[in-house]
This record gives sequence, C-alpha cells and structure tokens, in this order.
Amino acid sequence: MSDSRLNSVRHGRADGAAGVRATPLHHRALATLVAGRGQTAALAERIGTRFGLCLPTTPRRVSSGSVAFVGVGPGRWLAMDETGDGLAFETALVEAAAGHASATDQSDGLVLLRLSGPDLRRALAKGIGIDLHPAVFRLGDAATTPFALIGTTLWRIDGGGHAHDLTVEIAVARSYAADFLQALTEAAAEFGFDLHPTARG
Amino acid sequence: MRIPCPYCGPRDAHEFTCLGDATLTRPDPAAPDAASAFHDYVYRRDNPAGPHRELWYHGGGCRSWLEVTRDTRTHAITDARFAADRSSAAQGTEDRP
Ligand SMILES: [Zn+2]
Repeated sequence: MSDSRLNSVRHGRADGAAGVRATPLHHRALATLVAGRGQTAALAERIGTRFGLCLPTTPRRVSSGSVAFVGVGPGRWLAMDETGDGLAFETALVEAAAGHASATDQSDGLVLLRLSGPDLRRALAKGIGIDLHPAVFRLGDAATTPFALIGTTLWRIDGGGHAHDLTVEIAVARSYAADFLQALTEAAAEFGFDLHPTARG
Repeated sequence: MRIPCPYCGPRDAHEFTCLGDATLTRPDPAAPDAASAFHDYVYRRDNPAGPHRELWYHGGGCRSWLEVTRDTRTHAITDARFAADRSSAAQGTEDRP
C-alpha cells in the first residue's frame, strides 16, 4: 500500500492527507458464474465442495483462501481468484460446476479498483443511489448499482482502519473505466484524491 | 419512487425499466381469431386508478424481471416479487433462470 501511495497522483484539494484513494487491483482472475435453470442448489453444493465456501444467495461476498464469490443476482455470481490466471480459473469453475452452470472469464472485461479514505462515502454519494454507511453496508455486503450512470459492482472489505472507515473493491466494465475514473475524480476532488497513475490503464 | 427489489433491496426507479401490465396472457397464434386477439394483446390497455400489477426489469442491478404491484394514484408499492417465480409456479417448476 505504501508503494502505491508514493506513486499516486493528487487530484483536487492539494493540502493535507487525501480524503479518497484509488488503487488498481491487477492480476486478479475474474469470471461470471451463472447457474442453469433449476440448478442453483446443485451448483452451490459443487462449488462448496471444490472451494470450501458457501455460495451466497444474497448480495454478499464470501471467500476462502484466494477465491471469492460476490452475489450479483439470483443464480449469478462474480467469482475471483487473487492468485489465478483468468483462463485457468474459468476452467476450474467449469469443472467444479459440472454442467450446473456456465462460467466466463472476465479478467480483461472488468477493471477492479480498491477505493478507500475517510471521505470515500461522501464522494461516492454524489454518484451512487444506495446507503453506504458502515452501519448499513456491512463488511462483506455487496451491491450492483450505477455510479454516475455507469454500471458497477462493489463490495465492502476490511481496510484495516477504524471500524467506521469505508473500504470497497469496485468492478467496472473496462470500456467504461475512463469515464468512471473521470466521474470519481470530480466527485472526490474537494476531499483530495490520490489516484494511482496505472489506474487509468 | 423506490422499488423494493427482492434481491437488491430498495432502489431508485431510475435503475429499472417498466414494461407495463403484468396480467396479460399471450394469445394462441394458431387460434382462428389470432389477429384480433394479438391486436388487443399488443395495443389495448386498461388505465386503472389504483393498484396495478406491472413488470419492471432491474437492468441497473440484479438484471431480474420483477412483478411490482403499484398504486397508480400514489406510486405506493405494496408488493415486488421475481417474475420468474410467478411463471415457474404456473409451470410447476421450482427454480428461476
Ligand atoms: Zn435487483
């Protein structure tokens, strides 16, 4: 983390610590997993056996080791592996699902960012229509919802700070990433925004 | 107006697309009166003042079709459920796509 902050570029308010920080998360395998009709229970059993976790039926993130699944809709998940290669992860999902679901590599299709900072909630509130207060949007909670009319999926993670600090990871379609970052930069400018330069990808 | 999505929770109506009346039944295209039946199916709508069952697509969220019961006079929403649950119940199957 300290490395990325040293390399960051400040936008907006220049004095003091940044209110909002954005760091790209490269090298994470991403894939969508979609259960076949009537196959959700059978799929959950297979995924549970293979990856050692309980596939969430609500908008939540569950993880085990380097692998996590985020619920994005009924019978649909965004799956990720911090250590994996995209195609290998897709293959692992297809084999685990054994005909109960389809899996599609999205490692190149989505851009993943970690957003943090004491003013993150106020910055996101300018473009997002859900309540991200830590008392409501709890650790592990996820949401698929637009930011500045750009579709996103975000989930709250433990950023290691105070219990009320908001840290999220957010996935945006790669073709919308530049527009998303421009909107986020404008929303966060008044708080001081540290953006890792490679986030513009 | 907020719609209480059964998967996502309450969301602004801007995240959804409305398809209208949820109570229509697609006519039998092989029936002798199919042409006039389809005309009514496509074009004729009641305009009720009060509770209305309608289809909404949550394209900005979970991408599910919902059946929402909305009072057309007040926009008060008294029910929102997965449309797939309704059709699967009619077909006697359990899950949704
Ligand atoms: Zn929804």
